[in-house]
Formats: sequence, structure tokens, C-alpha cells
Amino acid sequence: MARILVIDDDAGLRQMVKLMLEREGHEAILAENGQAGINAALAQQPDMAIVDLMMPGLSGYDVTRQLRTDARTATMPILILTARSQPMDKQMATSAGANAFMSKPVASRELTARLSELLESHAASGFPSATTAPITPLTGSSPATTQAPTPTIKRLPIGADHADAPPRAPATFIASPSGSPTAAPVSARATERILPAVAVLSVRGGGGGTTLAINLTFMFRRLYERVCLLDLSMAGGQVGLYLHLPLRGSWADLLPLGDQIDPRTVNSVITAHPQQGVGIIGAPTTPPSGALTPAASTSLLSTLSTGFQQTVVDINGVSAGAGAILGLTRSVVVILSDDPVSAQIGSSLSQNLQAMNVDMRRVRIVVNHSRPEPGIPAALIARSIGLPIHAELPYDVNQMQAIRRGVPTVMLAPESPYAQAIYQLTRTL
Amino acid sequence: MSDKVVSVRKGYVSAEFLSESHRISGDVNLRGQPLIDTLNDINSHYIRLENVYVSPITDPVVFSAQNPVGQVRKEGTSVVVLPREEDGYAKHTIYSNAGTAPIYYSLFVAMPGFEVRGGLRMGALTDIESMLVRSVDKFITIYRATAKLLSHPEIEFYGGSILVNREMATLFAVEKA
Repeated sequence: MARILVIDDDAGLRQMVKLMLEREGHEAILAENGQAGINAALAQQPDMAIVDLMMPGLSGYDVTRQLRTDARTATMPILILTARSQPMDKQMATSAGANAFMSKPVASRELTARLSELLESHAASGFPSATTAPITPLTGSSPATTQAPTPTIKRLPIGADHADAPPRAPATFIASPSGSPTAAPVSARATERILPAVAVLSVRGGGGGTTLAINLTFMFRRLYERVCLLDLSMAGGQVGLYLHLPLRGSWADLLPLGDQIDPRTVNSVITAHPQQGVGIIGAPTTPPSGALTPAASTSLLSTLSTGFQQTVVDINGVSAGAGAILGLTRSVVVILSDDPVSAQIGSSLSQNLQAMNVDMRRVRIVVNHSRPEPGIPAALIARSIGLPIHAELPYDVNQMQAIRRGVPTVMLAPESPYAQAIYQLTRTL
Repeated sequence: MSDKVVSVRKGYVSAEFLSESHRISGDVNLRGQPLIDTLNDINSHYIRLENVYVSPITDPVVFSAQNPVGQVRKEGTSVVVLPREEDGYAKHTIYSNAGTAPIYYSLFVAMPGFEVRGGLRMGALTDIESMLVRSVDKFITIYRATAKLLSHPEIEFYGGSILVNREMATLFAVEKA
């Protein structure tokens, strides 16, 4: 049985749909206009919503947009049911964040079939139940990896953990061993092992690396309580912009520490995402005075690993420090666009990664289709770079909307092709 | 479970009235008569719409006005887009073809602001060209049709039926399908 919110200004239609839902064993929550619907959705957090487009006051587009911006309803399936049934209407509804669209008039059998389909795919997609198979750790290539137990994917409704999310400031993600705020830094030597982290390496800017890193981070948040995103871009960090989040600090704030990164200072530069509690260390917005040394990078990642169960490192342009991190992470995800330039740059990828002592068994090549037009096929890219393609990320119209709203696609449109691809990718890292 | 229609009021049809300037969506109370017959009723110049939503035709997903009730002028309407084919049936169409196999035609209509393409279904005895130019009906039904906005060709409206205002048409081009 599901609790389904019906937002429609027509009382007769609300009653008809209510009867139909109850006959199917569902519970119907009725709302007579957009604002009442939003209030009901936030207060009662139903399993899904059926929303009319044409309503006085807030239209169905407005309602959908508002529901998507609140963490409590950001992933709730939304079905638009409307008499405005032109392709342009469907496109607009999808852009607003709807999962499905049906034209009036619709037969009850069609409607109930679509509702069941949506509820099932929602349960089985990015927000799976506890019965879902555990994630497969990458053990073959990294025998001496983390001691963390194999996590199982659990259902973690976005809104439910809102109250438990760590406060943005002061947030103490990393506890010092002695409890002292001036705990000893983790030395680089102590970290000569594989850490619970994934590096996302962009071979060039604008290829979707930051988007992938953000979405992986928030998908990992479904699996782990404590997840961190470290933006190691040299300058012009975009994570804060993507998430509409002012960041407390950046990795550049750690430069004065030299090679000795201490937990207290690391804590001071971490921003907690207000809804999800994900820890974020951004990149400086202006060119910094220097770069993290390999020892400092190693120490930083190791420090983060004491407080976070999973860290995603966004690397755009390889410095010596970033190169050191590539040797420490459980997986190195290399993102390539499906354009000729990326394919050409990628042709020397294998050589460059080996020169940085990256274990090629941990490298995962991901092809990003960032435009609606078909690009170079993945098979051709694989041939050009001489490495197998691990995954492809489809073009997704929701991406632009996600950036506009500051919500990762995996939260905004969990059933979108892109979010599904991220989910599958996460399971293999 | 019955396959009852749950999303429209009984006796109503949801229709989109397109003019060169506006997209007007609303529900028409049929009062037991097909919409095409109401449109062709010479005793009235307006059709009453309920739950009216208006968009500029060049920005057809943006609501510029909304009202519980409105009156749309027949003569100012270029085409009426209906979701299903059966929504466009006329009473006389339903009965006039009894006993004869219908013949299908492809029809292209050019009119100010729009190009409409779709199918016609006529009784074998009907002279199609004569019907198109001499009929007294203002509106004719084209099935499985599209209406393309000439100023923005990317904007197209699809309907199980599209009712075309013959008085606005500048060209009918018909051939057997």
C-alpha cells in the first residue's frame, strides 16, 4: 500500500481518483490547490504525488519545482496528469522535475498501471530498500584496502535525515585520537595503503567531472552516514556553485600547514551540506599561492578517511599532490567526453596514469554524453585510448535543472537515465 | 477492475483553441452534442469554456491568464485540438456512413499562422473536393493531425482530432491515403 497525494483543483476528479486508489489498496491524500498540495507533501511525505498542471494560483509546474527544491520531497515520484498533453508540455513538466506524464483523459487501468510502475521503479532505483544486494567492494585489485565492513544499501529518505544532519558550523567530522583539538597529524608514511576514497579525474575542463563527483558523493550518501567531497581543482572551484552553497573554506586554507595536516584545521574548512550532512571541502575561487605537496595531499586524504566512510575527490588537472591521491584511492574514475578532443587527449591517458604510478586495475573509464546529439561511440573511444569503457553516462535534460536548483541530479530526478547510470556506477566502485 | 475514464468530468471534453496569438485550454460542457456540431451551430458565435488557461501561442507552456469560465469566439479560432479521435466525431458523421466502407484521405491545410496535416475519413459516396469547398459547415475534423505554428516551426500541436476552421483556410490539398 502506498500513500499517494492527489493535487487537483477539480473536486470531482479528486474524488474519482481517490476511489480508484482506494480500490487498489492505496491511501489517498487530497489537496485542492498547489499550495495545499505542497503543505501536505511536506507535512505527510507521501510515497508519490499526482499533480494536475492547470490549477489556479500555483500551477502544476510551480508545485513540482517547489517539491523538488525541498529535501523532504526531492526524490518523491511525481506524476503529472493533465489535459495539456502536447510534447512541449511533457518536456516542460520533465524539466520542472516530474517523473512521469499522462494525458487526460486516462482510463483507470492505465493510471493504476503507471502508478505501480513508478512506485516499483522508485523503490528499486536510487533509493533501494534494505533487501537490495550489498554493494560489491573492489577487492580484486586492492587486497590491502580499508577495514570498513561491506556496506549494505539502505533506504534513506532524503528528508528523514534532515534533523540529524550535522550542523554547518561548527562541524566536527574528524575526531582527534586523544580528544584534543590539537591532535597529532596523520603522517604520510602511515598512509601507504588504499583508502576508502574514489578519485574522479577529468582529462579536460567542461567534461562533466565535477557533476559526476557531486552525484557520486550524494549517491554514496545513500550507502554511508559520513561522506566527503574534496574538490582538488587548482582554482575556480565549482562545487559550491553547483550546490548553491557558500563554502567555509578550501584546501588552499591548509597550505600554511605544510606537510603536516592536522584534524582541527581540516574540520575548520569542511562545510556540511545542510540537508544531507555531506562534508565538502571546496577549491579556492582565486588562484592559490601554491599547491598541496604529495605528502600534504596524502596526509589530508588519510585524515579525511578517519572521519568519513567514503571520500570522493574531484581532480581537474593533475598536480603532484593530486597525483599522490590517485595512488591512494580505491578507484580512479577517469571521465571522457564523447568528442574528438577528449578522445585524442585520452589516447595518452594510459601512459600518463602509469607515469603517476596509478595501478591500472583500479582505473575506470567513464564516457560522458553531455549533449543531446550523438557523439563518438564509446567503442571508438575505447579503441582510441586502448582501455575498456567501464560505464557511459547518458545525456540528461534534468542536468541543467539540477544545476539551476543546486540539487544533484541523483536527488532531483532519481529515475532519470543519468541518475540510474550513477547508481550502477556506484555499485561497482 | 473497470476501465473507466477517471480524469475528465462526464459530459465534458478538454480542448485547446488555437489562434494566431493564443493557446486557450479549457473544458467544454458538451450537453449531449459533439463539439464539432456545437462549433458548426450557426445560432451561436461563442463557446463556453470552463477552467480556462491561456498561453501566448509563441510561448505555449507559460500560463499568461487563468479564469474559471470564459467564452471563446468561434470565428477567431483557427483550429481546435482534441486529445482523442472520437472527440472529433460529428453526429452526422456517426450515422451517415452506415453501410458503406469509408475512404481515407490525407489532407493538408494552409491557413494564416498554421499548417495542418492529417487524415479525413469520408463515406464512399461523398465527393471529397466538393465537400471541402461547398460544405456549409465552418469546421471540419481532421484525424490524427498536427498543427504547426509557422512563425515557430518547432512548436507543433498533435491531436487525435483537430477541428479546422474552413473559413480561415487558404488551401486544401487532398489525396487518397
